[in-house]
Amino acid sequence: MLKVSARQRQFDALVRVHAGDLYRFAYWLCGEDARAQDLVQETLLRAWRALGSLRDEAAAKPWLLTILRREHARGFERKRFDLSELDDDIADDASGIDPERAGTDAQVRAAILELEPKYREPLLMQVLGGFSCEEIARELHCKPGAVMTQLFRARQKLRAALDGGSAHTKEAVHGLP
Amino acid sequence: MDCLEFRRRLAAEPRVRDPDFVAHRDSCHAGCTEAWWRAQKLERRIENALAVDAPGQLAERVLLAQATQARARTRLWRSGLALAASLVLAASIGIFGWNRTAGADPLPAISVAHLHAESFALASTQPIAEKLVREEFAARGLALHAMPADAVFVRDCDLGSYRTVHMVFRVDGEPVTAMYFIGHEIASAREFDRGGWRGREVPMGKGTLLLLGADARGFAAVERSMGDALQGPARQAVGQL
Repeated sequence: MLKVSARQRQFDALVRVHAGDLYRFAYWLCGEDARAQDLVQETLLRAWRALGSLRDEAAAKPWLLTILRREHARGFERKRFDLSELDDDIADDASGIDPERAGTDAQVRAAILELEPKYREPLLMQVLGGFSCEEIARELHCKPGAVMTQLFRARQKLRAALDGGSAHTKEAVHGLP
Repeated sequence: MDCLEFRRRLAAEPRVRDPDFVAHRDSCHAGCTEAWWRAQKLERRIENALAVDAPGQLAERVLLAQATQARARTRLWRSGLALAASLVLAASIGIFGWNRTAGADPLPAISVAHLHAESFALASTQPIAEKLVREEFAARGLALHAMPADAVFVRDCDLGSYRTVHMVFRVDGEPVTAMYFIGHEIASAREFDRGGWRGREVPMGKGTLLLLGADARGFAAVERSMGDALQGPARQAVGQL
């Protein structure tokens, strides 16, 4: 009978539990299905080599997302000249989207894609990664107050886009909900 | 918490569950409860839009890539290890044979050759788990009285016909190699210089502890640590009396 090491079992579990979340984060970070899959693979293979440094099970997801962000940043540097086609790729790529939700989600997706990376990344870290403002601030090397402002602006822009560009309703004084 | 602070927090962290935040939401009559519901609705739309399905069998593909990479690395490592082992064996036999002819103590030469063959061990800096150290000694039939302090590397190694446990310690940041030769007893301690290394041999328990370093500064600490581990602190103290 094949003997599987504890390290290998830990890695198997890590992959099966987190591959989906990593893919979603990667997909919205880079905007390409194929590149997102590559990013997930690169991230998990790097995690395998550094598995000894993961001591706390609860820290696994933020740890993996941090690796993924760094892998993406490295790739971003390498593929800087390809980015002009990024948004078109996402707009055309409806793979993985439930057709029944596609109508309403398409509006939101388009609005998310309109966000500048400085707004989109903290939003993804919060919504998909489950990071708190303090954790995002540590990851992005800025102050929690700045992160709150970026998250506020991201939602303000999304709301404005979904409301047809008229966020200045009576209830939305100064952009607040 | 007032309404402005609530709205600011809501705009940045709609899913927050702080008691102050929730208390204001449930008690405010100035529209904050309605604002909270609107924010939750927007948040659901964002979450739904972001929830793309991961491609089927993504996890399996990653595991396959990992297994393939791991096998390739194992093959490479084994090839390298086999080559290194052959070289060490050849060097050891040669040196051992020469030393026997000359009537000299073979341990320093064999140890220095092995240290060079496993020079990667000198780069270890992280403390190793007590369980691992105990297992390596247990594999050689030795039960430790205590965990040797400052150990960063351990492996049971065969040096020619000698059964040893090869360890590396960090003393004031510098590596000190310790090889414990099981069942090989010497009459008394002695210092030596070999291949650019400073060395010391010490009779310890039913074997010999051999230390190698750039200089002898860390030897006393490692000798004490290994003595505590192999013989126990009490026995060492009695021995000193």
